[in-house]
Amino acid sequence: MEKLVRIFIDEALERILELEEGLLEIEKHPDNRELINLVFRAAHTIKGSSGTIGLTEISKFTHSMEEVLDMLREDTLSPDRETINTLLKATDALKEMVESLAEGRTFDYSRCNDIVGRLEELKNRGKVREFKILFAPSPELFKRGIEPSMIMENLREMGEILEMRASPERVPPIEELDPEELYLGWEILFRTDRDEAGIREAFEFVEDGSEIKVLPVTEGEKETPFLGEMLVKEGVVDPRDVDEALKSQQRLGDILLKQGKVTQEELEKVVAKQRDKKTDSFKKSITSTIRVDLKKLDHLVNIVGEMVIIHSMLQEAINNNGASTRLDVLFGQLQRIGREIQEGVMSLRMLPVGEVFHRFNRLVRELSETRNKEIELVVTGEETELDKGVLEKITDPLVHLIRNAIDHGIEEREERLEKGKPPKGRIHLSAFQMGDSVFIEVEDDGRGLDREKILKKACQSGLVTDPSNLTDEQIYGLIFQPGFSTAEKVTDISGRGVGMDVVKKNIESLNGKVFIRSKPNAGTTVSIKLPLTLAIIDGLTVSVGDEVFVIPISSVVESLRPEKENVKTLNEKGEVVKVREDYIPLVRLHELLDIPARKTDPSEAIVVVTSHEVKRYGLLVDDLIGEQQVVIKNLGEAMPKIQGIAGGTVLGDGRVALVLDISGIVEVATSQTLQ
Amino acid sequence: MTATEKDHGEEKEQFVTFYLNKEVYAIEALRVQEIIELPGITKVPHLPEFLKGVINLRGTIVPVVDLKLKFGMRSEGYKKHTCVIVTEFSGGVMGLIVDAVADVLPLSERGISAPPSFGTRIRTEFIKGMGRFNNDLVIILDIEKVLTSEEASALSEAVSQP
Repeated sequence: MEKLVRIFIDEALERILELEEGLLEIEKHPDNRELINLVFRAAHTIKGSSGTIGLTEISKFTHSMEEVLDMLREDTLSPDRETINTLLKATDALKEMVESLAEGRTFDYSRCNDIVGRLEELKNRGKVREFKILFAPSPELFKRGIEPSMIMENLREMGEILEMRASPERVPPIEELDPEELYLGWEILFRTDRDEAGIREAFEFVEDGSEIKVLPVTEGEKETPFLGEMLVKEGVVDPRDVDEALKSQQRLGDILLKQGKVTQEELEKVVAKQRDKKTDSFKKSITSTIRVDLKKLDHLVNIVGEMVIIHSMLQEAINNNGASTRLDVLFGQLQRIGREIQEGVMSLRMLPVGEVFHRFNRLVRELSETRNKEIELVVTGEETELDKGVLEKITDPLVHLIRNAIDHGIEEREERLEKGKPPKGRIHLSAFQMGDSVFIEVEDDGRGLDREKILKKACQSGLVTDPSNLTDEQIYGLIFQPGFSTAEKVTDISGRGVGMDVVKKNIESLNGKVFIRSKPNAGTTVSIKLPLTLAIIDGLTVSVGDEVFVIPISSVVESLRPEKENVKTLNEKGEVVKVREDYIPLVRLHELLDIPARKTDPSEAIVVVTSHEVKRYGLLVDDLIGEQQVVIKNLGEAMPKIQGIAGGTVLGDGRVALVLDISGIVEVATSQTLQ
Repeated sequence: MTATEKDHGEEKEQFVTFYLNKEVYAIEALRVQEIIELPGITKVPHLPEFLKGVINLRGTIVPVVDLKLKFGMRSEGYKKHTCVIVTEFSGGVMGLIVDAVADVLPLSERGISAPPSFGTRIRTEFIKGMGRFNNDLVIILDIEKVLTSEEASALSEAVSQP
């Protein structure tokens, strides 16, 4: 049972994504039947599978959605903004239901009453249909004191009379005309949300002796009933006659065969081909992917990591013992295969960024609506792949950047027109790979960053003391400082002074970097550079006391052994070391990490210069060991989070080395000097 | 070392027993993932004393706790028999450093009595019960409580009473 629910949750979440994306696409291409069918199928699948495992509430809810979607499919409801909005809201509610199921929370279904009500409204709206009413009243009507205009009044209360024509066919020659009899008939085109029986109610009092026909008006050829059906309905032929006639109908193949235009053999061949085509298209609808539990995958990644470590241990052993050439060759081959397996396994964790990018359509649509701006989101490079872990962690920062672009970047319509820009703003979300990195860019065509305003704000808050020698890039970089926000207007979306610093922090925690480019009135581009995978980084291994630490190369500038006179202690700033012409703060790693060092005199030890944000820091370590690629692992769920430690890695000798998180180290160091 | 064995007749649960300073303690075998020789431990800064650091368990990094320090007992260096019992609890996987592993004992429910309210070296809330095997008494630990408790949990208050 538990397993069934899990499968349902996985599938439902996927279908919900399809629903959401599909609905947004339908809005753009309302005539695309394929899209409507896809969305309908998604809802239908959820309804079906939730029903089978006894989730009746979810099944009932999706049923309502399905009914509305069915009306879209049948063209009895148009996919206008309101319809799509309601369906999107319903999709959200559905998502919440499934998510609470996944997290084992109980979901209060009464919260959805409002949305169910709105779906009902849509259903009723969609029922509005046109009918053709043929009304040939009994000639006695006047004598019974009934005024036909009263009937028309009744009809008007039920709906809208679109067209009315009198049919004078029954009017006799003037000499036979009885002025007290009613000869006229009417043909009425009527629009209502009632059904046939409901319309007939309007004629309740005149039914006797009158001829009343209520025929639904159908739209387009698709809806045209079969000829036979119509003949029966109009009372022209008996249904049995139609059946018989249909039975005597022949298939095209048979006719051609009889006429000698085709041989039995040829016919069978072609029919077989046709059948193949049908099964082919069916097979194509089954995707060529399989779903694998992430845990299994991670397990595989772990085991492969272990294999790589064993390989390097074996290499060491072979080197020390002086092996035969043959062993050396064989081992070389084994290592090559090992590397291939490692790459293959790592690639299994890669997902196309499109999975995340598509969600932003919704965000942009809704935010631009509330901000009253017209904004188009253009997405490129959806197929670029990123590690699943990176992809998950990049979503929130991207949301933030897009919100910022909508809120601060893109101007309001009038302002844009004044500047001679197209009234519709544009956000370009793109991804591409370059070397070992993946770039994700958020580009808007808005007003750009206000250089002066940023400087002013930075001076006020003391972030900058001497603004004269800052480059544009450095100035723009200031918006990533904690507590920085230039928004004049604080909105519910952004401009609360938190944000860009968090964005930067998140990206740095992925060993990534953020760059910003901006041009006044041309727009702003935020560029995020990410490593291909989360797990493997280039590291500099250093020793402090008996321990080995790994410093990510991405934050290392250089390393040096300082002269004695170049290390000084300043009253306020603590220890500093002179690197080229500048004094930079010196962080004694052994003190910070609370371990005994072998060398405490900086002039005997090594200073690793690292860069964090725009500043540089010197980390004092005992020795440099070397450079190597390391697989970062977490220190176990049970381990508390330690500031300054990004995780651990298993070294060639089987021991664990800690990987340092430079931004965390710097934070700890600065807070210590302040104390 | 799995714990799926069942005795004939009465259903018995398996317990792994081990020594801490010559006293015998036990934990449910179902909780034990494996038992390994003490490998090299990598110290992690800014941790309480009993959290000794992390080890490499075939490519996975696992934190280790010195149970003696956790219980406020003396812990004087690791010896040849010192080993790590890798256990699972609600917070993840944790290695327990113990002096030596003794045995795997089957115990029926009848063989387990309630923990004494005083007189034990460790806090009674960490004790699930007292197991009787042949004529020996073992202290069955509630490892979940031990590992989720925040403080370094010193000696039981009862000890200091006369």
